[in-house]
Amino acid sequence: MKPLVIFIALGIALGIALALAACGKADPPAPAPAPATDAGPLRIGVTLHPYYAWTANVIAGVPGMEVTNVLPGEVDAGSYQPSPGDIAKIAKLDVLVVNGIGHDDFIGDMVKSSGNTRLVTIAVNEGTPLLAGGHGEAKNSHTFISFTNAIQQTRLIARRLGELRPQHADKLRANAAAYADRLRGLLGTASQQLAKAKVKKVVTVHDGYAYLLQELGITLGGVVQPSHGLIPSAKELGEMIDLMKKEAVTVVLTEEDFPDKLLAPLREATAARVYVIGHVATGAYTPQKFEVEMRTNADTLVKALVTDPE
Amino acid sequence: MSTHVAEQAVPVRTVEVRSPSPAREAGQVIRAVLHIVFWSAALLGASWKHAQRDAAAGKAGATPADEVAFRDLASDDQRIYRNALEGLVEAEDARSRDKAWPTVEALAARRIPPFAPDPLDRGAYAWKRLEAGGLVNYVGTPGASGHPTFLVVALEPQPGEPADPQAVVDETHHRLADGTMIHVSIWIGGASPGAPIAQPAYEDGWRRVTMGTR
Repeated sequence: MKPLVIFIALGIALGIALALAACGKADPPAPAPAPATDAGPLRIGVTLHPYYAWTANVIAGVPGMEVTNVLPGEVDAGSYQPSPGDIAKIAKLDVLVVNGIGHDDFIGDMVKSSGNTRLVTIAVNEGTPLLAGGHGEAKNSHTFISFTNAIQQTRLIARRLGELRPQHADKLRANAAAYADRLRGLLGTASQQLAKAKVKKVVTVHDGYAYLLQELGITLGGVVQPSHGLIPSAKELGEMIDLMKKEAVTVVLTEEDFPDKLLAPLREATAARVYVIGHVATGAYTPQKFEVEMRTNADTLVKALVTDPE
Repeated sequence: MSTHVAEQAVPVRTVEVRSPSPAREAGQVIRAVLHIVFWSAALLGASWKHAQRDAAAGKAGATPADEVAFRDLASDDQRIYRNALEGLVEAEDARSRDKAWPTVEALAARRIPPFAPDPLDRGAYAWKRLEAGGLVNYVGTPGASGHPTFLVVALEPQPGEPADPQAVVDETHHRLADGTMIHVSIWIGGASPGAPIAQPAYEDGWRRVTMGTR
């Protein structure tokens, strides 16, 4: 037997053994971050657009704090491929605000590659109750498409930044409170209008709207995509049509990029009306983006469930 | 010349190195593979046994009888629970600033859920605050049938009680802005109490809601 063959055989066996040993083991908890020093500017990075908006509002007018995006604006986190330039950005950060439950899993390797060992991570979902995914998965990572979660996670960001810069804790907390008040205003206005909804059950293309729908009292009848980002098969579309007919669902909420040719059968078979709900996932990073896009989402829901059925 | 003599003085020894027979070599590979598989199986077995023991002790997976996981609540109840978490954080903020737990009316005036009027509230909840010393309850009693009572509990340390420097902020431990660590919990299912309670009883129908999805 050739030495190369032996080497390959041992390699395969070792690989299988390691894979077996890894099966069933939970991910180890992330190590506790080293505290940032209480001096100098605090450079805060974010992985997702909403986190940029929330952090920017929390640190507004606070000296020595700045927020920057790690990912380019035009790229959705779901299709993102890390680049050397983005890893270099992480090397210069003091704090990183992350989703941490599946929406930015790429970030761990990027942080390791950056060599930044003093980075403090704020995992915004650490105090957020998680809904199940659209097809029974343990957790739905789209917690950021929600007014309620945005308020609580903004509060968390302010609290954690205040621990790093205690001299600014009161200002950070006041900023978070003011931002929360504005978001509650948007949610309250939408709630008043949706209380008159004639349609209370919808089907969504994507499983990212569960938190928003729940806080607006709307029932989620089903999710078209078999899993996040996957195109449904003809069989799955057929099952969704059956479900919509059976439960008399007449409204489908879709995302911007979902192929219209896949929506056509739903429309034709059920006469459903289709509306686009945004993800706050691409475009320029601005402090206003979350409020602007979520107001549009709320207005769209009012149109779909209150105005158009009249 | 001298080099030539030296070469002659050291006789060249020829050794024939034979490779093992194919059967022997295959045997060595199989032995190595068996070792790897055996020790991996031993490791997996130990992990599995440990997990079984934890499950039997209620440490993982199973929810203890006096608790209910957020994921297992009805959607309307999940919505109230999420609102109650938001309300609790805002009440803690007010407690930090004003040195007193806010009234339901004060929270409602700031449009803070679940205390503020909510046009989408199917349970028609009415909220009240109960307080005694460092113990405060916010109780949500449904006006519509088929909805459970909610109870938010916050318990401050006794005056003079030393702070635990190792205490970690988590689902049941929150830190106020002045550094005070408090115990917090949200309960569901019992009858609306007339006086504040720190530890609602299972026998009275109460279940503590746990986030429990990670």
